Amino acid sequence: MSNNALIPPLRELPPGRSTERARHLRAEIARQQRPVVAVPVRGRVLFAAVFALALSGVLLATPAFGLRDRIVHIFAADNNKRPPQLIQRYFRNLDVAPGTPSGVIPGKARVAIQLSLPGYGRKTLWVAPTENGGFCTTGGCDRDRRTPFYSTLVIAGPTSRNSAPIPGSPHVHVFFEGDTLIHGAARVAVRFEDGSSERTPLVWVSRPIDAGFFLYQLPKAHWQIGKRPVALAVENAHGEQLARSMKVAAYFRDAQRARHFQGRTVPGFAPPSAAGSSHRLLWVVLAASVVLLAAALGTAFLRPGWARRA
Amino acid sequence: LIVGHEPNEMELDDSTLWSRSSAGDAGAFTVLFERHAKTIYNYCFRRIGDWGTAEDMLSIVFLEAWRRRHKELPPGKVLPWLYGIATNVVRNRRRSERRYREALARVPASPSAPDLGEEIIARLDDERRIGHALDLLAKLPRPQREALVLCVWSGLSYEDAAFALGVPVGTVRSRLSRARQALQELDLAGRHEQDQTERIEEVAGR
Repeated sequence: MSNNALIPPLRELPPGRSTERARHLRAEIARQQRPVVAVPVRGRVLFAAVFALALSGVLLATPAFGLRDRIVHIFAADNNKRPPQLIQRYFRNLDVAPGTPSGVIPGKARVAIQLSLPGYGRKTLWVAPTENGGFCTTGGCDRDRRTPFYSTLVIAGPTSRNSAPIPGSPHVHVFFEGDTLIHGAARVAVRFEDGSSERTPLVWVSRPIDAGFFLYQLPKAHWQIGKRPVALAVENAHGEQLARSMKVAAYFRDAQRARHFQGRTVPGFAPPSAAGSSHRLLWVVLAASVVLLAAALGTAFLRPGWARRA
Repeated sequence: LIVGHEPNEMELDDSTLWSRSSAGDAGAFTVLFERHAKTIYNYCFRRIGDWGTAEDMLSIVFLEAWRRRHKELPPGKVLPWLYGIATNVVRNRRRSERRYREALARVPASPSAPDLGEEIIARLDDERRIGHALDLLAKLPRPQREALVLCVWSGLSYEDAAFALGVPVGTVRSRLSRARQALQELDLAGRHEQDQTERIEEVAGR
């Protein structure tokens, strides 16, 4: 077999190399067999544990500092994906006002928020930068970065032939969406007629857009008179109000008066947490990663190979 | 009158040497090295196609075997097990080299380049030829490639190859069969010269 043309014959190691390699092997074995000095691994384990705890603490504290969604956004897979043609076409046809081009760059559109909502499906808020340094979303444009806090009302559901929502349809969904330029903003609070409020986090999109976005589905429980929204407020991590808008709540009441949808409460409808539903898995993965990291660090420091040899 | 004879280590069989190695006897392990170095060295060369790298792989295989010296091996399976380690080392070559980088750095350099003109030319020719064979083998999936090299190029029995690869004997048979079939199809599809056909037959061990 070995004497044929393609498979070379068996050969010895080059002269002297076999002895050298055997000597090397013995030396390596001897190195491994040297007694290991009992190094103070406790200190290293302690360090690893403290490090893991600190990291966990930082991660757990991020919501308090309004950082959670910024961190989560780092992992957003859609950031570098080229937007679909449909979205690009939408932005291409977008005018700030009739005859006033938005200057939007459709090819740089990206997903700001994407949520899977029970009873609705996937809802995506796209954002694209403009040539003037501003941005447009699927909900509106701030071409020159002049609006510190913008919010709008979106009524989604079956529509008639002229694109008007079908009155009284039980499949209608109401959303508040918008953006803010205020740095330090952490979330948007929706205040209701009954004095209660709900909060939805802001997802901060990095430069060149550099703005925070939110998407909130108004639960049907809050369509009822006496429980309807009255205002949207931007808050920082400490709960201090930074900006406020009552317009969007007024739009909602106007739409309700126009009977675009009914104000009856539909039992069994669970109001989703705007960001929580889609990011819960990421949080679980993140937490699991921290635990694994801690375990790996602990194991690595405990391995005899890490110990100093005599 | 010789009433008893304590065999020296060179006379002991592999299994005994392995048992001693497992107990921490570096001398016994070195004997195993000296006994099987050539075989593993050539196997590594036939998988990689470079004599120099094969020499490093040889060291890695035995360092890895020493690291796993507490494994209990059935009688007569030391060499197949070494083949198995070598297969894994070649398969995960970068990782193996990274793990033993420091150890390999301590290998003493050749004292001086010996004047072995003929030998060097022959080894260069080996590398060229095995390169062609490996090019053909590269067209096969890794499991089939490994089965073929172990059974055909290295002459292991199906049972030993199965032990080396950690798979059932039937799997080795089927992988080898598929490998040969694939090479045959390659031959039929190629419409190449007679020389190429001979090469494929040789690689496939027909």
